[in-house]
Amino acid sequence: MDGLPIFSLAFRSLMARKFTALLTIISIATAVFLFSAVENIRKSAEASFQRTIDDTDLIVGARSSAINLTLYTVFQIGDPTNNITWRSYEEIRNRSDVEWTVPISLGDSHRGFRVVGTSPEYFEHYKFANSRDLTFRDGRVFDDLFDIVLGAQVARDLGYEVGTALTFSHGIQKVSFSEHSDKPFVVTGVLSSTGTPVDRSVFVSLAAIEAIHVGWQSGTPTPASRLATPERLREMNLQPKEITALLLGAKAPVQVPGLQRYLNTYRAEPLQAVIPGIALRQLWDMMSVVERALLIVSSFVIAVGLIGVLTSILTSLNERRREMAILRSVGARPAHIVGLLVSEAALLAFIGAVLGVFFLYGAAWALQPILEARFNIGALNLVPGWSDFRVVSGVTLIAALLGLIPALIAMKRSLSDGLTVRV
Amino acid sequence: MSTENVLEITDLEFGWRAGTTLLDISSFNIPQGTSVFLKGPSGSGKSTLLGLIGGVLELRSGSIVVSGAELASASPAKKDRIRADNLGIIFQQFNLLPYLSVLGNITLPCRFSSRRRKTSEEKFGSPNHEARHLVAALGLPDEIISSPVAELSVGQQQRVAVARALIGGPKLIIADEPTSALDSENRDLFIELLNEQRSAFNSSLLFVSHDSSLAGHFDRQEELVNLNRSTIEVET
Repeated sequence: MDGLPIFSLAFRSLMARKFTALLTIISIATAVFLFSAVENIRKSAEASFQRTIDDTDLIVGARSSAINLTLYTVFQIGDPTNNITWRSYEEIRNRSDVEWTVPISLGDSHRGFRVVGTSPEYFEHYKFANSRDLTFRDGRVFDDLFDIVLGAQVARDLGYEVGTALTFSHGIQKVSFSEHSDKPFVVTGVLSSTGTPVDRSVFVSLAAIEAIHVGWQSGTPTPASRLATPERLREMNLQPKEITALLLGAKAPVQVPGLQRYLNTYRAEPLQAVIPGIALRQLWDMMSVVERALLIVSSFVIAVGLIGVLTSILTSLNERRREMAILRSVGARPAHIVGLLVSEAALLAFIGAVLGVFFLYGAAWALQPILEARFNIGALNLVPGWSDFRVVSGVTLIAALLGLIPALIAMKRSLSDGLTVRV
Repeated sequence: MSTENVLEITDLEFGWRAGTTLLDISSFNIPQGTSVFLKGPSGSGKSTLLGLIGGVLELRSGSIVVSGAELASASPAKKDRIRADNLGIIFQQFNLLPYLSVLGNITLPCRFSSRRRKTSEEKFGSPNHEARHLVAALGLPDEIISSPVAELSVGQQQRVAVARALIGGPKLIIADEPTSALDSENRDLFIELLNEQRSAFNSSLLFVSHDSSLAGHFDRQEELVNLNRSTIEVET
């Protein structure tokens, strides 16, 4: 008398109550769908978050908070509080323990996308997701004053290609009243998609940032700005006096703490150096409160689904008293009765959970292009993994345990009913 | 202990509560291959007696031997196995599991008793073959085998119950008022078929009913009120 006959009985018994069974399965499937979706999005969000910047030892900016500095240099969220003088930049760059530096100058935007002034070395040293390089989908790095390089999303959203000419606005509003409409910039390169904020950036040289602002004072154009034609600008000395921040790579990892201390106690001006990994971790911990809340809510949805399984089996018990007596009469032991009802609960939960996971990945697979384009979730998981296996087996196990409640009630009744068929 | 008796009851006592005795039977035997009509009006304790023979109730004292196996000293699991291996039980009505087909219902005992499955395999090749044989022998149409039980008439359902009781050749068939839901014509035919088939298997039959007009179909007649020395007539 192995377990299998009882299992197939449980299956047939459920099939005979298709409608209730189906509703119960749907509620479990929905709950698992929701739970796994939240869990999945949380994981891919964290993964794509953690992989935004790699191989940069320190991010250096004016003194504010580590999180603020990371937000505006890496994520282009918020505004820099202050700048770094070019003199300090050069001093840092020329230190013997510094391998490379990349300047970053923020402030302008183009149709809602941040314009980042930097040097061509940016494309060499900026790494993401396990030391991956930025690659060009099309074109090349800027070398002329009016050359620009676009992140993948910028090009996609605005429909720009290599060769497109455009203008820039000062400030970061999407609709800007003070367009630098007289500056003929041309797209020379488009980066491949990275799933990082790079995709939403417009890159120009530091000199170009200066050029945009020639003749501007305190955010408004002066008569001098009209004289700044492209031809004249090319002849001007556009050496920046300040930059917003810099990315830095040390000669050796052991020198990073020393460098960080040096920069944090820099004499000439108040600077701050943060280790990107640590700052990202702090940032994520701040944001993950929301994910955790979502996870708790979806756990409750699963709990409600499981209670539904319990209810559906409990309510069926009265009408199934006869069934239990018949099973006892053909030789079923009390353990078989328990096994039957526990199997039913587990089966409902298992089918529901598997369906939920199946629908989730079906949806993820079908919606992948939209999700990646809209939300920049580059690390979207498309194949069920270990965590889904754990959710399915966990839900099944809890349902089986809950199934013990009706099972033990039925067993107790079947012992007192004996072979008497009570209708 | 005689091996010729498939059921031997000796000095059986049973009561639901201490101090009250519902059943007190000094001796009741059923030899192999014979049929016994047990007249028991409702409230006479017949369901309790069947529960004791089936091994789902615990007797207070005495002995019940089913096919050579003592129930009084057996563990609950052992009693369940004795029942599965040796008894075929037919109820008054609603004998069948609604979610199994006729075939599934008939072969159900072979899921719980490996002995009955083996017997069935030896004699007919498989429980499914035996089920088909029984369906034909009991005068049911062949195509009924794969029908859902809800589509069957009451008379057909009771015959399917007979097939289930007989499959795998259990030693003793217990029928508890199996004809009360049938009309008089079907009643006699049903008992004839039941008797015919269980003789073919050399199974004994304990037929319990309040209707003494049926008594003529059986080898022996007993009345529970005569067997039972207890005078309390309380049926739970």
